[in-house]
Amino acid sequence: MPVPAVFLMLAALLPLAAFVALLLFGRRMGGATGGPLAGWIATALITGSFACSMVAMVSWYNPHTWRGVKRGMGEYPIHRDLPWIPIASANSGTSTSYLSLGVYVDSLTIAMFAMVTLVAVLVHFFTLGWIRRDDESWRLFAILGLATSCTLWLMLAGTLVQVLVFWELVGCCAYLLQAFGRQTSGGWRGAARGWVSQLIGDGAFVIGLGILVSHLGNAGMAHVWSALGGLAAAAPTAAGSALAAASHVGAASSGSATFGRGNAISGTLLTLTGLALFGGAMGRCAQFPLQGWLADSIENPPPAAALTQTVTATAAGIYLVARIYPILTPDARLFIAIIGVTTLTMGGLIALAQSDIRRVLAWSTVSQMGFIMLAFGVGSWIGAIFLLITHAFAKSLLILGAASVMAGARLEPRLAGLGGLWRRMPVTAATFGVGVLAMAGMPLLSGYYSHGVVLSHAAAFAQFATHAGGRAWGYRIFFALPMAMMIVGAFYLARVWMLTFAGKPRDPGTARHAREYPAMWLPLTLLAGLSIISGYALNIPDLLRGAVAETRRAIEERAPAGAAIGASIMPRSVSIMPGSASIMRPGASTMPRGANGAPSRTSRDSIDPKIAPNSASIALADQHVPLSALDETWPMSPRSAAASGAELVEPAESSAMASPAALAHERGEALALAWMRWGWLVGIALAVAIYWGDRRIACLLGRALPVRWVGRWLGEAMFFDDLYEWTLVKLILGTSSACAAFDEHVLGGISNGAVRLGRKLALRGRSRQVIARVTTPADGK
Amino acid sequence: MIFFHWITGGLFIIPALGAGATAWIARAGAARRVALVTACLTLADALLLPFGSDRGLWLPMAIYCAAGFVIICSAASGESRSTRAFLACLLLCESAAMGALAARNLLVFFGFFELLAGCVFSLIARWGGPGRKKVALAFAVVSIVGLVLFAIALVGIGCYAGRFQIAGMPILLGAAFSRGGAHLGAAKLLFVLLMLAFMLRLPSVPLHHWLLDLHDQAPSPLGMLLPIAFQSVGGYGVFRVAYFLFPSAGKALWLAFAAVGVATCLFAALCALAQTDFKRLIAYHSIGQMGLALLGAAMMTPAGRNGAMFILVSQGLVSGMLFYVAGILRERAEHTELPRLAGVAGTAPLLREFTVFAILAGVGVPSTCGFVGQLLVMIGVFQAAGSARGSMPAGQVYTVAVLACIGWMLLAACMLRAMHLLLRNAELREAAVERGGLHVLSAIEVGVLAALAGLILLLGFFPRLFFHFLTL
Repeated sequence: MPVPAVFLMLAALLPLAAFVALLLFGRRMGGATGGPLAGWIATALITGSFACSMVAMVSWYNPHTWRGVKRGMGEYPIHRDLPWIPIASANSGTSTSYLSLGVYVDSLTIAMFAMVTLVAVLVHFFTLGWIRRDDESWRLFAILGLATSCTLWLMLAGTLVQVLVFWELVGCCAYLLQAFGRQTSGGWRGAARGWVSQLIGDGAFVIGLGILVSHLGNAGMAHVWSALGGLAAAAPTAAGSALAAASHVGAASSGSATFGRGNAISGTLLTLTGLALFGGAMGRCAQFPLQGWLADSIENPPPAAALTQTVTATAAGIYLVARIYPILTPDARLFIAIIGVTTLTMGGLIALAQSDIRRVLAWSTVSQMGFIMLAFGVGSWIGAIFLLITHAFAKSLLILGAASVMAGARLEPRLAGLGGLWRRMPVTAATFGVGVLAMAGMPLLSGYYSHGVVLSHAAAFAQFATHAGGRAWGYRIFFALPMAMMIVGAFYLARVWMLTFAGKPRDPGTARHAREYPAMWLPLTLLAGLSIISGYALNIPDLLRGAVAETRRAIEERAPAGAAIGASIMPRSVSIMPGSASIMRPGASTMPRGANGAPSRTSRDSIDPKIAPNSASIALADQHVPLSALDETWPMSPRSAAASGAELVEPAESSAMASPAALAHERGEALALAWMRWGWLVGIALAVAIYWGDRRIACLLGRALPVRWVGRWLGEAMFFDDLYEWTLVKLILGTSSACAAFDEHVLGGISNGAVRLGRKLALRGRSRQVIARVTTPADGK
Repeated sequence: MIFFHWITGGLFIIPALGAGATAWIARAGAARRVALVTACLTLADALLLPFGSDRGLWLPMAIYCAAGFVIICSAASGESRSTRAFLACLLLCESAAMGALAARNLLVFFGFFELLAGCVFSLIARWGGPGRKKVALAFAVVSIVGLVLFAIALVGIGCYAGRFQIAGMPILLGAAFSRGGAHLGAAKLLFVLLMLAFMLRLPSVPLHHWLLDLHDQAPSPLGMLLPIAFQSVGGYGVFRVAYFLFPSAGKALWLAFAAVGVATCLFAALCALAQTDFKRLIAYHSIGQMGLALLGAAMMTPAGRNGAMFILVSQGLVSGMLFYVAGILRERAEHTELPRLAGVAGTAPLLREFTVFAILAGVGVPSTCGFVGQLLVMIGVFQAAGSARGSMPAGQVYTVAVLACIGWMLLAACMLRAMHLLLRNAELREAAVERGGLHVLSAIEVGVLAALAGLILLLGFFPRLFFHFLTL
């Protein structure tokens, strides 16, 4: 195995080692004296894991040769499958095929490892400062280790089966954290509810996976992409998706891809498959119908909440969508965009009216996850991952900051009981403020860049779809709502800051005794630093652009059937019938659609597709194009914007700068730029004005009846919990008690009747003595 | 070759001899030791099997059953109540189960299969709880019905095939049925009779009530024996006899049995959700698992069949562990009513960890063996849709798949509910401590639980240990 893969596996194993060690010996380390020891062991191991990820990253930047090709940043990915469970595939006749586990390393994996381990390390350090001498704290550390490890293995996954395995484990960890993280936590109900709503998503995931495996015989990443990507690109669509209409131009519209013996998957089925897989992500990322559990998870110990909301459960969902992106059909992506917009609007509005600091942050997470899904839906693959990473830093900063506030202020989570704490907690106040500004999208902080990429894509999507699809204004919501929610987001986060740190203390007792713990300073400060610089200093978009190129090469590596390397990694070669042509064509290709974020643009405009007949030369050209899509003033340069039109239309058209898509991109970007530059300030200024001093405006507003009604509606999360309680839960429990009653009385009655009958028959017969002997009391004691 | 015949024979001869020795020895303590040694010897014998050339489902099942009986016998020897007659009866059960697994002849299989039922009957009739009279009678009625169905089917098979050797019989039967006269109808009839006999054992809805009642009254070792040996041997019959002999009938009737499987899974899961008694809840859960196994068998796809076979084993281990935990709770708290147990499992340190583990295994979290079987069955269902055989319309297959998926989720949910009720929050736990809490686990209990947990993890991580021996 090449160096990066080895180190990544090591990085994923170390937290698991922490889990095992604490499970075996944690109890002995517990108690009044040894409490912190468990924490230090876990922290040391997770720091080692971070170090391993860094080594892997460095080695990734310097490609190595393995199995005949260079593997590393911008080159080929590392891919290795290990057979796990035998299934003779339906289309392979007698030979045995396997559900495989495996390792797949590309730049996305590297970036995710860096993010997860870095946040986990900082959260661990924070936890060391946060725990009191609680003799059960080893359990918290153990489960944190398990959750981190499962997430890492998930992100190392070479096949969708492995994703499912660790997917379920991540869900289980989220449950365990909530249920057992602390001895005194009362989070059982929320924990169970969370797991059940995630299970609903998992069911959908299993359905999608089942369809894939039954058709392909396997679910290795590159295998799935190369087999289905072409079909996804050319899938005929139902009415409604203008994007699809655009990608249709010139593409040979093939109904289905055929594997083996007449084993066809149609475009509609592929859409459904994509949606089913996305259903899993909906559960993990708290997307619209399954959004409630995330807010319940605030009963978690704060470190657990920070991990769950930023780098374990939610990141797992995003990662899945990123990996299945190449096989999403335009219809599926439109659906994802709609769900994303719904979620982000809902989350943003609900966060406005929360009175608990932790709930505001949780609903803000829901809203941001909606943002990321929207990014996938409108085709901004890089923007989505970029936003995930910047969000992880900023949101864990905010959650840990809230934990620091609570720890210092007698565990008071209600905003009504806080206020005026900035004098007592200067470091917390400052770092929290940085987090607020970063999330709000203040220029030069991280959120500005990541949200900028997403919003300009959304705007371009709206523009283009409106023109090309001919449906006026319907698509505008894909830009209007997210932009509005950016402003709302700035408002509610600033509101939290104002209510917590500014003004006069509302509870003098709390304020007088409030203090902050120096042990928490280091992680808070580091996270604040990361929130500031991660937009432009950490090279994240470059890394992600590399991921796109590598994905394209992974497909290319597999696509020529019977090629030596492809065959050695994956034993079965799949012949793709009609859709395959488009894989190799650069413009309508799989991955360019698959990753038509910034990357394809940067490369595309310098290449005339007519002189670049296959994607290999595209990929080669990649290295010579300066990848500077993000300059310091604006996330997208005009040049790249023009080029990014290429992803919306056939490349033949895109070469002309004046194509409608290019125009849409230019206009969309200008629109997003105009709004982004000042939007954050509007939100923050409003919050400051309303909650300034003794909050006179807020009191005035609060007295208005409509405001109170709306506030209650939003405060109760739009009553969705009650709705589910009264419909779904009642339905299931009602059915179940009806079933139980039926079973008890009807079936039980029948079986009793049969027994009575049998007994009568037996007594009438000769075996009377036998029965009598059997039914005498036992004497063999 | 002769040597391996003796190895195979040893599978049921050793426990039978051991049973005799256990019954013959006067002192209870020595009898326990003899029983345990016998079970261990059988396991050692079973572990020699892979060195032979024979392959098939019976081989991993035999190893698993032998291991299971070592665990059951250890559990039984931990109980002061278990007398030598009880232990002898357990060993006789092992002998019968092993014999059924190793049988190459239908009549032999039939004999051992019914002997197993007889042993279980005497176990429950003699050592059951206060309500054993009625329960034993119900079980006897069910077993006799199953016996009669099986016997009728045997007569039919004998008529058509002319002999009872299992190997090569599908060809004989196929030839007999294709020779005109008797068509698929007769094959279907025999197949349905056999399936009914085995579905009584699995059990599947609506023939499942005997299992609930049996678990109500069963002593702890018997409660483990039912999922580990009794139900799984019934499931073995489904593959070894019914589907092996009548593949074409199975294909023709796939929808009926898939529907029964899904209905069993859904119905059992829904019933389990409404239970307030821990033992009943687990009993329904194990019925639901068996429904999934039946579904996997009915789909007749490679993954479905593999998954179903794996569920036979995994369900045995997981339910066995759950029933053992329930037995411990019943012994300490003298009931298994969940609302009254609230938090009690948290009062004994190790017990809490094992309970959490057992319930997570019941949920089917990956890395436990429950996950593998369920995933395979689901994939098997989809394989049927993907394989584009005319006999299975995709619409029906997808409907079955979605329903099965819901069943899987509901099974997980009912286990979560059990966890919630057993372990929930600290206040209740402290109250439970004040009520006296539970005693610390004894060494034997820890050993039994750890062995079960180890096997569950082993198969969860390396399912190929099981699949390696299957000839597909």
